[in-house]
Amino acid sequence: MKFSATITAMICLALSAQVYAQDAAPAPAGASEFHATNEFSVVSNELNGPGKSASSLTKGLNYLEVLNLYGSGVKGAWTYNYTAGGKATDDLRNDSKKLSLTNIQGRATDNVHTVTVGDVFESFSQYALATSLKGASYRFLKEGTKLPEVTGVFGWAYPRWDSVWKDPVTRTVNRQAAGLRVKENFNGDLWAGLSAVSAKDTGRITATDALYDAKNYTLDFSYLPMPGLTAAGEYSLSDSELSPAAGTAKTSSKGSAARLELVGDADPSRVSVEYENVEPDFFSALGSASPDRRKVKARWRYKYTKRVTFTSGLLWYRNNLDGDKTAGTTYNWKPELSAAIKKPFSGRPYSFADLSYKFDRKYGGGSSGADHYLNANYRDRFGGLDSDTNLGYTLYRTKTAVRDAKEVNFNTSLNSRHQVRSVVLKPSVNLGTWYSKDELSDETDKLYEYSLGLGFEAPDTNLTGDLRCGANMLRKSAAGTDDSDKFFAALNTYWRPKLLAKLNDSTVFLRAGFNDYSFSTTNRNFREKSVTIGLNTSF
Amino acid sequence: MKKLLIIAAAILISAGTADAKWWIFGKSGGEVGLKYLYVNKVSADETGPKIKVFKETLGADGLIKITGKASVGKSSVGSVRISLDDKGTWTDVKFAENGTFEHAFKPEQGKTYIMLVEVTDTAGKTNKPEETRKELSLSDENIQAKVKETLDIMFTAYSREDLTRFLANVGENFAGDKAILERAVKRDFDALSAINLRYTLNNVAAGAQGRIFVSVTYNRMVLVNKTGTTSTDSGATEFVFDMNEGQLALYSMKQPLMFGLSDPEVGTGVVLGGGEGLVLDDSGDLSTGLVVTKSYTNPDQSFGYNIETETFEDCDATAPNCGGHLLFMPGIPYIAADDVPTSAFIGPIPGKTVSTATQADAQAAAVNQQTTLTAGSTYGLKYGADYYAVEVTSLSGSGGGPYSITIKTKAF
Repeated sequence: MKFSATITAMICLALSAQVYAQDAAPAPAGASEFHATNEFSVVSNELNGPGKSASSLTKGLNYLEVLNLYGSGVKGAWTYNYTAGGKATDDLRNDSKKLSLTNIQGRATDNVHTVTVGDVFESFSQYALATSLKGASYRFLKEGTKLPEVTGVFGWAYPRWDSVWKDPVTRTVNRQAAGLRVKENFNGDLWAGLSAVSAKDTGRITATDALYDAKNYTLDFSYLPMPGLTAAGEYSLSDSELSPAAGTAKTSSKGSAARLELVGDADPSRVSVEYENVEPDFFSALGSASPDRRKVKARWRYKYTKRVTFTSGLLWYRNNLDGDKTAGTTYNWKPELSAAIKKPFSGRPYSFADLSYKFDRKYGGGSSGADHYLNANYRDRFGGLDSDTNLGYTLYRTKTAVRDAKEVNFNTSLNSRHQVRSVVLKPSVNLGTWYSKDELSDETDKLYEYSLGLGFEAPDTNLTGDLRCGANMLRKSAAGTDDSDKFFAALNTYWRPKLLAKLNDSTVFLRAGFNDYSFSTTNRNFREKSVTIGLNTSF
Repeated sequence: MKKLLIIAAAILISAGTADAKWWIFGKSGGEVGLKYLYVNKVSADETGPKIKVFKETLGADGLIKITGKASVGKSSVGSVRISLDDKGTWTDVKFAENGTFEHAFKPEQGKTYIMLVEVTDTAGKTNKPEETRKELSLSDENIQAKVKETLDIMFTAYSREDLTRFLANVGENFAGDKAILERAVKRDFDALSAINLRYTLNNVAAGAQGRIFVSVTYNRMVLVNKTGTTSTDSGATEFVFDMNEGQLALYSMKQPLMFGLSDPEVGTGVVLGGGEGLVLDDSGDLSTGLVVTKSYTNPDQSFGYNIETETFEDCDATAPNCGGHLLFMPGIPYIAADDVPTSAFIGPIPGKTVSTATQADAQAAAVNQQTTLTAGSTYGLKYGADYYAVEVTSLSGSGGGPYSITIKTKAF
């Protein structure tokens, strides 16, 4: 492993930040604060066996360095805070970049005007803007007045900072975004917001990248007509233009999305009713929506007694709202009912049972299925032993011969806690099995699993940890498919040495793992050994 | 929209006129109480008894703001008082004529504030302050550490196939719908085993409404029970979390998906440059199948493509005898399932790409012998007993040709 100049620079920066933090500590309260966290770890992975190419680990010795800085202060009538973070690694599975800026943000406010630059996450509403931008925002909010809250934002919806400076490895389509939101709180019971957001894509990386030029105009509101009842909703219009690939004609589309939710919440009930209609041509580049969906959802949680709570729900949705889908419309019904019972056996004070039934009905559009999910969970304490047992039965049924199967899963875990002088030991056992009968192929799959664990805490030495080992065994009846076994062992330990107390809050950690994968086809077999040692410091 | 407005109006009007006892689930409109109470813009109804606030979600002034509205029926509000030390001391709070009030204080780290709100009407009748009791504290964790802790819990729960523990970190208002995600994750657990997930944080940004944006780079390996094969992938994806009782609850996630691979629609949005990701089809198998991209220029307007040999062929207007699976005639324009065998069918899959289309999509779409050919469209193809997805990513040319085309194909 080569410790590059960059990683050395990051460690130096972390250490100098610590010195600064110590210098800054005696400053008067409220004047300024500075904190940093730093985690440096080295991992050694060893892969063996003919099938080792299937491993998701990177062979050899690699490092990961993560540094984050935080600060705040006051200057005149303005208060400000800032954050910055970076990551360095030579394992391309950790990150495709060896050195990257993870986050940087500065914010200042005089309690009326707020300016944010860098990572800006102005969450307008679900359909309008629900993603972070690299850019800047401004908010005007004068509390105690009738003036509306006004927020403006401008930036680029890049997933990471490397993309901003067009790094060839992480370069993406350039999605430039701008938005304006005006929100008025009318009387405490009712507020409403109007948002306008635009997103324009440029700079294809490949000829087949789709580019959008989209605008969304959104109204959202919340209204409290009486104690315990809330109505909230949103209506959004989109106007978008799509260029599917280089050299192809652009297509324009307009669509709308609307949702309304009513929530009644006061003991013993919580009832919610939700309606959503998202047209197929609705597009939100910066918000969250599932186009071509009309949905109705109702949910009722009812505390029948102090010990028994019933929850029932019904979800219905369909697609093909414009009727253009050649295959037709797909409908979904998903009712469910569950009961949570505290102390189902009056003589067992720690007992708890949870029973649930869920049903999935999907039909139309060339598909037809009816799946049933039954689940029973029971938790209890026997002496010093906590138990948690789960039994599930699933029936997958399709009329289109896609999946007809019966599946049963069972898991149980036993945990206890023992104190030996000042050391706390937490042994645990987990057992599980899964059985699947595929009725289309008349084949059976069985999975058995077990694990043993031992957690430990030694407060006198500031040492905590967890050791776990176990195995999964998959047995398949279908010809030409492999049975497989996985044996695993993992150790995680965390030590907060007193010697590092000067660094305020430091933890040395060691993680070791061993995985052995065996298949019927022996040339797929491989083993992974992984050891990670690191230091996490906050100051 | 008209229907929506009618439904909303009907519900709200009936809510206002119906007997209040029914709608407010036991609360009486005439009692002294609180119509609403917010702590840093988060409704107290939506939180548990403990509220943990993170520094990053405070305003730049570092204050916790308690806002609410006193409700006293036909009477008038006489006073509003707040205690932050479990009734030890009370602070009178200024309130407006309609009962709205606001109180702000600067929290100290490591200290727990037991908050109670007392409302008294002008007749001296008070609410039950115990019903407003909340424990407030300022977390000494930074938001990035909290994000890491939450993702660790979710990734571990998913890897161990612990549905209950996984769902504990998903918000009730999950944008892709929590009920749909729950069933999709349950299907994932039935389809996969030996799940091994790792991630590193790329970006964390705290924003308005207490929401947290998170971008990660991930790396995973799964064993598919149906086939007994392993599959690995890596890429970048994004999550948004809500703050709830000092815990983070998943609000939305984008494709490529980390969870709920059995229903791609639980992802609301696509990460730019995020990678293809894994998708489970309705049969419980991975439908990632290798996506093959091919480009071709044909001198005229009739050509075919063989998905298995990944080759185009100039059909010279002898369309019926053109080999392969697909026949393109962009001058008309149409794309057809080649007619040998006659059980071959094709149809468009709206709103999907070759990466996100599932076998069920292809099965549902493949009902015609031919359909309109347009660039940017994805098609489902049934050929014999096999299903394919075909995406036409670019198409240029006019009249009798020549035509240039780029397609992506995937076999299920």
